[in-house]
Amino acid sequence: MNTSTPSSTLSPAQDQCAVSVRSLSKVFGSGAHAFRALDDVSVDIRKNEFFTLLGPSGCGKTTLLRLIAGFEQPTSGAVLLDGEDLSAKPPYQRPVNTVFQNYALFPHMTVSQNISFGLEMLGRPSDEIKRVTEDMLRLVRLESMADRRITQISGGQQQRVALARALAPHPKVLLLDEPLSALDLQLRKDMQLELKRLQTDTGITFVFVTHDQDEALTMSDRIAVMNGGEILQIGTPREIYDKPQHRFVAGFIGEINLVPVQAMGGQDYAISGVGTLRADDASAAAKGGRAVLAIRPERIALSAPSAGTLPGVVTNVVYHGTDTIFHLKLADGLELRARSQNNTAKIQSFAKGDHVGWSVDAASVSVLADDPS
Amino acid sequence: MRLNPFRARPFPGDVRHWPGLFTATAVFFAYVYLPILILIALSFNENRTVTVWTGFSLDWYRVAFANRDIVGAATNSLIIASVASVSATTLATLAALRMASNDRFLGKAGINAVFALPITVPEIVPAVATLMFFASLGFTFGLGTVIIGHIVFCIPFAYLPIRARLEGMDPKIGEAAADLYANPVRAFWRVTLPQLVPGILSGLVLAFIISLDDFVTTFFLGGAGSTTLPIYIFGLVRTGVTPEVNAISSLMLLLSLSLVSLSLFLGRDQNRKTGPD
Repeated sequence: MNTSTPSSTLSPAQDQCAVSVRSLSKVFGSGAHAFRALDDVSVDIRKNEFFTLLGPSGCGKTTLLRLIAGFEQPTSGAVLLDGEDLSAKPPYQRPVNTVFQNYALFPHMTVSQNISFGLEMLGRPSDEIKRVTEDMLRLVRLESMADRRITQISGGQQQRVALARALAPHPKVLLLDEPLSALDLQLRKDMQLELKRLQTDTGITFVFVTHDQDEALTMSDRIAVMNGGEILQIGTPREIYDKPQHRFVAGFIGEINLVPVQAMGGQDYAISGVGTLRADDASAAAKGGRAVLAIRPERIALSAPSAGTLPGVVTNVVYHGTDTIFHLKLADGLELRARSQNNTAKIQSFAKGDHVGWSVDAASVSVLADDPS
Repeated sequence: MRLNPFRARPFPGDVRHWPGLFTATAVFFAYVYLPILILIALSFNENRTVTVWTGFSLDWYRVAFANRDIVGAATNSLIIASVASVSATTLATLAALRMASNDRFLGKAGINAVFALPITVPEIVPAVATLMFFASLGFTFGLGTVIIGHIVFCIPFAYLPIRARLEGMDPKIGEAAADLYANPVRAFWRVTLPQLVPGILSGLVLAFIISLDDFVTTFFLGGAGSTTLPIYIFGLVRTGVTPEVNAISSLMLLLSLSLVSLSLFLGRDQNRKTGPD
């Protein structure tokens, strides 16, 4: 059940890193109006990785991206690319390219002129520019649009031009600033798969900024969850989802039950007035200390009350088609939500007011420190 | 024919149904434009008496073009308007680029306010002030002094459309150029300037027309050999209006209208969507 491997949580070896962010801080304004957008952030992004910065607006993810691109200067700290310090370089000397949130395409140029702009500025020979531009048009499936003006193509097509334009110079790192947020739902779903395909095909390191947890879980090799200018947790989508190490991470991604408990020592935790729950989590709280258990609704198994289960009363049943959500009231008034998949025709079901028993596999319980943040 | 049944009964305050709206509008436009139309019509009159129509003729245009004074005045007008509008537009472009940057510097708000001032100040005030200033410096009045005066009042007219164009540009586009390896100089020539061209041309045309049309500043700052068309026409009218004046005025109107149309055409929003979305 435990999917985290030691290598993915340790800092990768230096020669595998595309981007190394070292104790980066950024303060906007000064004096009483100072705003600390980024607070001592360090992260190593590996080569050929699809790395996502996930967090709510104002968490510092876009600031971090702009610092890597060179549009902002850090207050302290450094950004290393392949081990080389980028701090002194302006954006036009950094081998990284950006896909902007609203694309920022050049409206006075055609689709292919936009795509070839970076190569021209790099002074590449004209036959190479022509060949790469054609390759890029094919890659994003816009061959027939090559001579259209930017104002004559749709939003989804503009999105693909922005991608092709940023990929054409074959940067060491591609930075993507919420590039899908302006698209409608179906197009966004298609582009998620498209982006993942492009990243695999080109082998370029992608650093992707989003506030959408679905996007992050679907596309990323690794995710860094940010809040308040700090990185709270870095891990694979599965680690972030299954083993949140921070209350904010647990709450931000997916639905989760947070149950206040008292550590009984070992792996046992007491829910006041309900019973004891096991959690095989390494970060066990000290005996007698307060903690919070994080439990995904779909990991809770419901049954008739029995010796091996904890008691609860069904207060509401919400049918969602693929699954059903049961709202449980625990003995002392604690609320709990359990999600059960409707994957067989005959399913053990419960009605409002039923007394039920619930249990969770010890591996599916995360123990979080009991801090209010 | 009303297509929308909910529109059939207007509410009482609807300005479109005020009594007398059509009549008032018709009277207004007639008052403004009828004299101009009559002036144009009479420029084709073959009779020397301005008010009596006897037949169609292009004679007065021929007479006007044969008059060396008129040709000289027209040449002066074009020289002044060209030099003044190009100089003013260049200065206005540089100013707009600096003012549109999103950093702050001492007096930025003040400078921004002062830019539009020449439009609101009565023209006679800077004209007299400049006259006294040049006189105290011992300048010889002529084409040079007129051009300097025109550059000054043309700057705000050139500045406003350029600034508006800059405001409408996506600030991220400059970052995109830098991100794609364009240094600041190349980013300006390849990305910023091409997008600014409609605004610059629009400002240029506006400044040109304002200069071509000017009377007050030219009158105060002019000297021997700097007579422009408006000054010349003013002189002719004092000795009685001839169909010759009608012909020159019609030509100036034609030039102004063409330039304004050109300016509107160039200044139209080229970024609006025309294709499918």
